[in-house]
Amino acid sequence: MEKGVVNQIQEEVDESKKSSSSFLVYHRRINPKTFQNLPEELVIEILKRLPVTSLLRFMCVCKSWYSLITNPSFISVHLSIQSNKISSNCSSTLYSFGFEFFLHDVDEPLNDWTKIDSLVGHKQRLIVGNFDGVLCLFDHCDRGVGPLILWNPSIRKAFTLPLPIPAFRAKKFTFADVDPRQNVIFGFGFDFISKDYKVVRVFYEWDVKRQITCFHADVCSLSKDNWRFVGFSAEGGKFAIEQRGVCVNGVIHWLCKLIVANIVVYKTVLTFNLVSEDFGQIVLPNPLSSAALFSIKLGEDNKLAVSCTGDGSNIWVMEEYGVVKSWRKLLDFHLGDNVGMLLGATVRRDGKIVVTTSVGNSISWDPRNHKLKNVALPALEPDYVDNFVRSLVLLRFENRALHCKKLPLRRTRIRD
Amino acid sequence: MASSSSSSLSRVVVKSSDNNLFVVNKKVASQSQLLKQCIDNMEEKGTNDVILIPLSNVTSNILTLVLEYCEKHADFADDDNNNQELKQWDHEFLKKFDYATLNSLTMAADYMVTKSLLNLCCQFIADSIKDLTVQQIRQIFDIKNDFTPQEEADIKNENAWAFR
Repeated sequence: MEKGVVNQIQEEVDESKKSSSSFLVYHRRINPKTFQNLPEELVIEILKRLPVTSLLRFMCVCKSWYSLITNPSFISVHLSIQSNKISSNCSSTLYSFGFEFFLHDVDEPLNDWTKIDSLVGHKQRLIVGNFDGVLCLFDHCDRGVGPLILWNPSIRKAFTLPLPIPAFRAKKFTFADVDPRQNVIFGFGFDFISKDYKVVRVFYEWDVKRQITCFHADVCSLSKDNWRFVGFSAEGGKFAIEQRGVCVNGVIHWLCKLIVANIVVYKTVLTFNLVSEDFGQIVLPNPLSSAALFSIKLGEDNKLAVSCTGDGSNIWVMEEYGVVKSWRKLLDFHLGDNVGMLLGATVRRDGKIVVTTSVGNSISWDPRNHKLKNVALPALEPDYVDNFVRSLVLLRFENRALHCKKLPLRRTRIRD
Repeated sequence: MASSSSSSLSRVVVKSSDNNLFVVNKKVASQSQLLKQCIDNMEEKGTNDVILIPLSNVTSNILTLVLEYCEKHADFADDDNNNQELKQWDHEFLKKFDYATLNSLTMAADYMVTKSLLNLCCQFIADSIKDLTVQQIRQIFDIKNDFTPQEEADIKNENAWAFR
C-alpha cells in the first residue's frame, strides 16, 4: 500500500516538475574548490574547532574573522570545545620541574614532550596554578611580595598583575613578629559567575593568645585589576599549608596540616571561594594519610581528588562537589617502595589513567583489566602535574610583562 | 495492511528541493531531528498515512548523502560515540568530497538538525584547513581582504611566530 502511495505522490511531483523549472536553479556553476555562502554560524562552528595557532593566523583573513576570533564569547566557546576533547590533539598534561615547564599531548607517545620556554628575563618562575590554559607564575626570589604574572604560552601573551598591597599593612592586623615570607601562599582560578580570572594571595599566622590561625587574603581579579582584602580565622590548631592551590568549581583548595603541640593532628582542606570570596574547609576522606590534592577530569567535569599513601596508594575523588559523603575511591594499588607521593592523575581518551609520582615516574592504569604500566617521564622529578588546554584566553590583553620575548614552543623528544 | 496494526509509522517519504522522492525507514529518519519532529507530530495526531516531508533547501544529490550517513548511523545508534569502525567509516565518507559538496552537506546537516553529521563536517573541514595560509583561506572561503596593508602587517607582527 505504501508503495502505491509513493507512486501516486511521485506522479504528482512529476506533473509539477513539468509545469515549473525551479529545480534548474541548482545547476548553476559552483567552483568545487570553495566554500561559498556558508552562513556565519557555520563558519563559527568550523573556527571553534581549529587549533590556537591556526586561529592566530586566520585573524588577518578579514575584519569580520578578526572580530569573530577575538570576541570573548568565541574565546570561551572555543575553550569549552577544546577542553572537552571533541576535537583532536588539544588536551595536554602540564608538568613543572622546578623552573621548567613541559607539555605532553594526550594520545601522543608518552616520550614526546614540548618544552614551554619560560619568560625571558625572569629566571626563576614558579607556578602558582594553571587554569584554562593560563599559567599563573611568581618569582621564586621575591616570595610573596613581588608581582604575579599570568601567562598563556599557547598565544604567548603575558600579563603582569599590579603589585598587591601587602596584607600585613592592612589596618586591622599587626604582623610584628611574623616574617611574611614564611607563611604565604597563592591561588589562581576562575570565578564562573563574574566570568573573571582571580588571583588570591594568603598570609597566615598563628595567634598564640587566642589559639587560632588567622588568614589574611588579598584578591585580585583580572578585569578589575585591583586588590581587595578578606580576613578569616580558623580554630583547632596551627595550620600549615603544604601544597599549591588547586582550583575546582570556582574554589581554590589548599591541603593543610593541623598542628597541636608540635604534632600533626590531622590534615584538612582550606578553601577560598572565588565567587563569594570567603574561606571554608572541606573534610578529607582520610585525614591522616592524604598526600596531594589535584583536579581530575572525569567525563566533562573537573573533580577534586586527593592521593593517599600508607597501606598502598590510592586516589579518592569527590563525586559531588562539596558533599563529604561523596568521596569515592577511584584507584587502589600497590606500587612498591620509593614511589614518592602521587602528584596527580590524568584520564586519557582510551580510558587509561596516568598517575604521576614525585620521584619522576608515571604509571598508566587501565581500569578495564587493572593493568599497571610504567611510562617514561623526562628524567627529572616533577613538582606539579595538571591538565592543560591550549586556549585563546588573554588574547585581548596587551603584553605587559617586562622583557617578554616571544619564543616558539620547542618540541623535544626525551628517551626512546 | 501494515499500517493498520499500530498507530506508529514505519516509513516516511522525503522530498528534495528538486522534487525527487526518497522513501526512508523511520529509524534512519530519526537521525535527523527535523524529520523526527515531523514524524512525532504526525504520530501524535494518530495518522496512519505515509507522510511526505518536503525539504526545500536540500538537493537530491546532497539528500542522498545525508541519508547514506543516517542509514549507517542508525545501525550503530546504541554505541554511536565510541565505535572505531564507525569513526573510520565517517572519515572515509567525508574524504571523497570536494569543498563545495562539504559546504552543501554541512548546510543540509544544519538544516535537517543532524547534530552528529554537523559536528563531523565542521571538524573535518577544520582539520583540512588548519594548516592553510591566510591567502589560501581567503580563496577557498571566497573572502575579500578588507584590511589595509598596514593593519594586516600589524596583526601579523603581533603573532609572527604563528605564520612560520
